[in-house]
Amino acid sequence: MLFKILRQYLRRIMRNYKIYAVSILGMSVAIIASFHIYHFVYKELSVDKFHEKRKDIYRLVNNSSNTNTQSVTTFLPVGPTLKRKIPEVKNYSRITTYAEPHKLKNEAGIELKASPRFTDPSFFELLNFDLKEGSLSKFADTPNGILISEKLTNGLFGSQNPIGKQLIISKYRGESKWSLEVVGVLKNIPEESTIQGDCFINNESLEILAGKGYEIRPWNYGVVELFIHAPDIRDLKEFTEKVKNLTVDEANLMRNPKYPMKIEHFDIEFQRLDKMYFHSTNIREQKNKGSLQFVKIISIVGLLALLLAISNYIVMNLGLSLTRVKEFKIKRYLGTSKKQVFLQFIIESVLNAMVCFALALITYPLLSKAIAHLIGVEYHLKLEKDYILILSFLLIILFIGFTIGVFQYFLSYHSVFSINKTQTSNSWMTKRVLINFQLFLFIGLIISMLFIRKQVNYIETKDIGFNFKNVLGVIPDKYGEELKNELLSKSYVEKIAGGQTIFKTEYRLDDVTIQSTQEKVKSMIVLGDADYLELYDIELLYGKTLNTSKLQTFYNWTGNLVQRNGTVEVLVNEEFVKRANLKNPIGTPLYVNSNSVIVGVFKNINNTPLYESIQPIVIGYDFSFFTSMFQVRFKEGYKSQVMDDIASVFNRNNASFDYIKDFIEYIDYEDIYKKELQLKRLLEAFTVIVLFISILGLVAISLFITNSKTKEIGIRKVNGATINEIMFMLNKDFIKWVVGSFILACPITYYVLKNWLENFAYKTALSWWVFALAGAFTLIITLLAVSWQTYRAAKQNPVKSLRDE
Amino acid sequence: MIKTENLSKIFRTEEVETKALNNVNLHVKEGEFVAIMGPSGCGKSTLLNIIGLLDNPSEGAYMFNGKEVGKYKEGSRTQERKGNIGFVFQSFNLIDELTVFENVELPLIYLKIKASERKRLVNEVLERMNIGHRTKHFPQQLSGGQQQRVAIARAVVANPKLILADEPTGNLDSKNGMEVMDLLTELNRQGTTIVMVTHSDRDANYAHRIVNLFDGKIVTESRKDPALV
Repeated sequence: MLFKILRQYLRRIMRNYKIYAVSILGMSVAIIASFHIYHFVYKELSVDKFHEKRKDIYRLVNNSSNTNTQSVTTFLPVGPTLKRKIPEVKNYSRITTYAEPHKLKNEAGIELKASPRFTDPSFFELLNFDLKEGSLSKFADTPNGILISEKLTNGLFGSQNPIGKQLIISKYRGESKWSLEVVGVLKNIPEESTIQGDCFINNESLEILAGKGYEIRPWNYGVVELFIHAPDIRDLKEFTEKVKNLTVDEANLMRNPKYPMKIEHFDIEFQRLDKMYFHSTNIREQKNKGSLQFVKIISIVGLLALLLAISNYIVMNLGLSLTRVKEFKIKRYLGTSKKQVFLQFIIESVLNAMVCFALALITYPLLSKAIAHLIGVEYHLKLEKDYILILSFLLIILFIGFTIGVFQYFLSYHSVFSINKTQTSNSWMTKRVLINFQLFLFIGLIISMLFIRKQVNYIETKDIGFNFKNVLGVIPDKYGEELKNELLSKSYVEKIAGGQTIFKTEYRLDDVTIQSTQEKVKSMIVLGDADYLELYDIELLYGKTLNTSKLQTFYNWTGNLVQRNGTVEVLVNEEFVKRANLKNPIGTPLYVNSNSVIVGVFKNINNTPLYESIQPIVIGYDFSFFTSMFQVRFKEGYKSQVMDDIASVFNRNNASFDYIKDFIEYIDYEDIYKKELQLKRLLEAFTVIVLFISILGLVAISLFITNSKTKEIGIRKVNGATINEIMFMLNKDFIKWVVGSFILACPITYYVLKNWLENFAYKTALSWWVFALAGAFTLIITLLAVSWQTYRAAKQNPVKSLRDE
Repeated sequence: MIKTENLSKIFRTEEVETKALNNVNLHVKEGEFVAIMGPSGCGKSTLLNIIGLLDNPSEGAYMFNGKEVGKYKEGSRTQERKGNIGFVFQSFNLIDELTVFENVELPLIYLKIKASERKRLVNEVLERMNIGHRTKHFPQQLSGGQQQRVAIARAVVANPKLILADEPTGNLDSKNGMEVMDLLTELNRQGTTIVMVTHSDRDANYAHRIVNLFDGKIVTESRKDPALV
């Protein structure tokens, strides 16, 4: 039975290979696309899921009322205190968040870059980062013990046993060196982990390595990320309150009573381990974050592609089954049971689905690069590792194949099993609904794509009030003078000004006090010198620019507060003047960490991504903090040259400069609007896929419509209809469908896009012409796809179609 | 009205060439009623299609209303056919999705006649065909005889000079068949030229002249006694 069906299936494919090729092609494209999306979503959702205790482990997060950011660093003693005083806290582990690149050198002189993180040995008990060699107890007992990853082990020791070997670790900046002992090899951390790292050093060395500051006043500086193991928390809110009170009390026992910790300044929350990937948008220190919104969008996109392909596939197969009704009817007269017909539908449909899946697997390596570029994340499919993913997707595909089979069986049921010759309108309705659905989706997508393009273009070309192109921010370490001289000697360097990079993707707002009224204005405080405005092409509206010669620069590394003489000159933007409600801003005394006075007002600038509206800005060079950073403006096209120049200065001083990114800041719009560009690219690609599938569907449906109307066309032609009149008659329905879908798609897309645009403080207009354009485009594409068939049908000789059956 | 000279039609498939018509010379005068007879596959329908401007001959000339139309392109053939030629088929060829009225209305639509005028003409012809009470029905709701009368109504509604009938009684019982033949005769009496393909001797007897076709050639022509007409 099965063999017979298979043989017939193959025979039918050979005979109708064109139609099968088209119908399988459309399905395959969608399955390939959705397989990639499935892979991406699967990986994203599995991040951090490998930790067994993920539901009982929490990370401490600080909320900052002054900024729109959160921080995960906290004081060293918090962890031990909680374990000692709060019974719910079974264990804790601390780890340093910032991993500065270091040099790791073995006895043979081989040197590799590594980013060590200091941690408590309990880290490897709470979290599932497993050792390949060595022992955790040894790590706990060895204050200068280091665990290194497999990758580092291979690079440093090859096939040798690394345990017990000595490594010298040193910073790229500075000369200090320490000797460490390898106590274990860590399995490479999987890519589905938020926490990454290549080597871990026992926390006991932290104080030695980091300098004296921490040792002296552990309750004053937050340096570590804290994880607690607390399986018995009933009420997280209550627990958090308890932690807050206890921590503040403990801290105040240890701190200078003149500066007690206030409970409102210790605004914390606990974040569960399995939430830290998707729910950490504002956490400054976390580099590795997922976007739940993007995962949602891409899942919907994948699902729609699949739905579209399924609907298309059904339409085509319904058309095909029209030709097969006769076959089934004859079989029926000859005694085939309903069960056998059912089975035939199911088997064929499942076989088709499997062919599509096989195509998806085969083409995976070819397409994965392009798709990774599209969604901005690269994942690799490894058979031995990802078999569950592949199998689960195969199951989904088989289910889809099965469902389509069932659907087709029921749709052709009437034609096959009823004696009445007339075809039921059932399958016609289905086809119409499916075609309308495709057109609806198609129009909606085109509109969305056009608008996202429009918005991205708007953002890219909007006048933001300053010019950041061809500007690099340089952190000069201690080679500031030399770097400046070197750069200024180059003809392509136009200007240098001291100060921070003006553009900020994350910013904090601090209180600036108007001294006369004691009113506070939350403002962004930016460090910049006398040439700063000019360097960035920021327009000074009135007043004068800063006079930096008056300033007294001082370093505040020791923790001693140096009282400054005189006042700091500052520039403010229009927004500041507006919020502070100043009539004559020039000369207004402010307090910004020190006494300041407004000397100039500059035009508003959009120095944050355009999701945000303009904030008050105060620019000054020397508050109680200071920067050695400076900005270089150079001529178009000389970016890499300038970077080489900077590197040469570092190299001349034997200061290694392998990690240029850590010392140079460059504003890259591509980076800032990564999400939008991703979305744009994704939608573009998806529109092409939808276009492709839809055209296949339209061609197929027009084929079946013209086939079923062959006789009518003949009759009409005999009665005097011209080719144009016939084509109009046949295309009329499609025009109606496009118009209907358009009317449905417009309000829905409008609503969705309006919501999306709410993300931005600056939005492009939802112009009517974009909708019209999308509608017209769809109409043209549809008519082109359909006319190919209808023209053929209209042209054919009516004699043939009217020949008596 | 119809004059063919050495008319030939060849059908080609990949391997076989079939000569469906072979040097046919046929002359039909205005007002004549001609029956074409012959065994299956002798080229009757092919000839009818060419006469009806549905198809072009492969060779030879075809004069219709004094014009050489044998080499007309599809568009010109359609223009020439419109309003001049009406067709009646064995299988009626009504459009199932349209009502009786709409079926009959078709040729008038393509002649771009106004709706009010169309209504008048269609109702008139349906009355004449004795199915005026069925205008809102669909073809499947009618008997075979009624369907064929609708088809004849459609063929004559635009008042063509020529009616081509391809076995008009083939799908009808004898009573209905006779009715259809009476209708055609009546039309002919009113001046419409009729060319009819038939297998039935009885039907052929309604015609003035019987042309016998065999293997694409006219083999005999017999004229009825004019006194009987």
